[in-house]
Amino acid sequence: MPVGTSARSQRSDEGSAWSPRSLRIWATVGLGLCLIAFGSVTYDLAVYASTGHYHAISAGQLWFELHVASLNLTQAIVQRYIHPGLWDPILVLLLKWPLWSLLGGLGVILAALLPSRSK
Amino acid sequence: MLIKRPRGWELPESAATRETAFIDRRRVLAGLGLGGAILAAPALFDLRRMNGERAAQGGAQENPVGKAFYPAPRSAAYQLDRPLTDEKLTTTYNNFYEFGSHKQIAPAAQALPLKPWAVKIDGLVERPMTLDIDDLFKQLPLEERLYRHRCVEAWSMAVPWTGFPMRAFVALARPMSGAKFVRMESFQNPDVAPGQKQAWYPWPYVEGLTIEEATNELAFLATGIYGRPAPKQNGAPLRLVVPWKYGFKSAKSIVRFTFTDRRPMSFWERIQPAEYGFWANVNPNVPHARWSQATEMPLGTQKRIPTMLYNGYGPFVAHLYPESNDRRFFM
Repeated sequence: MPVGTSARSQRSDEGSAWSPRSLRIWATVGLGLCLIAFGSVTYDLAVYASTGHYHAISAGQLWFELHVASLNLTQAIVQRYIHPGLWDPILVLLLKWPLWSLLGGLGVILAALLPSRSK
Repeated sequence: MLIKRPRGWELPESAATRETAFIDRRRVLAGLGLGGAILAAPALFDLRRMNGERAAQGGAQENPVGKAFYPAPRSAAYQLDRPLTDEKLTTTYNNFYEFGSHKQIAPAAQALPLKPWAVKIDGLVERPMTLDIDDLFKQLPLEERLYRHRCVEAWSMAVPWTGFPMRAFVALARPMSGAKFVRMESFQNPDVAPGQKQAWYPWPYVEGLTIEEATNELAFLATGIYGRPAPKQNGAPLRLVVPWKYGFKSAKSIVRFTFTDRRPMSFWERIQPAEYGFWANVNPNVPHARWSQATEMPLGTQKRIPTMLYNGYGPFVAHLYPESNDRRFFM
């Protein structure tokens, strides 16, 4: 096999989801999610401190507050064109989770993809 | 002399990925898979349980409310320009947001308990009261009416409703002179209505009419359909039918009527006011924010027909909206 083919193959690996560059991007996204999760839990605790009532904002609640039209449309698309059960109970279960736990968990998993400096 | 030509797949040892690196990656992938399985397990279990319950039900349960009062005499005053929609379609293609955003909600709706069913009347009335649904049957004679129904999603049907004029119900409630609107509230029971588990929505479902609309001769409170008690997915045991408005105005499974001097904020108006307003009168010339309302597809047909202003009920209701050029009345 010509050497050029191997070089092309290597370049294509660099653009794949598992190349070090892609992993760094995913890890950065993960760190960003961790930051948002931290902000969310800080907000929840601030509300708790001022009201004495702990209520963690859920991912669904935040989505509703930020852009209810897309939440509504997503539910319709998932339930009508994919499967009703994918939305409820599976996605609803995730959307009911506290925002900090959902984003924090996802963020930690993505941040773990960060390649070590020795590489 | 040995000349070694490296093949395309051969790499120097220094270029090979360290064993620890790909083992770590496998761990991450395994963790993702395991995490996903843990996350989804309760939901999957619930889904299997739900499907099992649906299968066990083997179809819609009968609505026992007021069964002895059917069939009711048909009113000759309301004629259709099209054939009645097949009953199977009308009872299996439903919008009932409390049970989901898809059309096949009939199996899930069977979880709604209909007995006892109390109807509360309060607000600006001479005497607030709570009536059992059976008391309504005893006090208000049933009749059958043939109405066109136009959904905001641009499909339509023609249905024989059984029930009583809302005008008669308003007379029973005896509102005070200051009452300008009727606010209707549907049931709230997240234990049986999965949609209501999405607590970020402003449950319960609320709709409203002006007193003039509620006492218009067309406004109807339906208890039955096709000559018998309505199935749960069609809004049993008591639902509103206002055929000159888009279907979402016709609240289902109503438990409360509040007479008020303030315009109620309806469920959809609270969520997406630019798309689903308070008035929602049918008008083919005022498009929805995302699609045309010029035509509609009757259920059971594959052809589109022109939509009529006020769904063809202009002679009954146009006088309620003297400023007919005001687009607010049609959103």
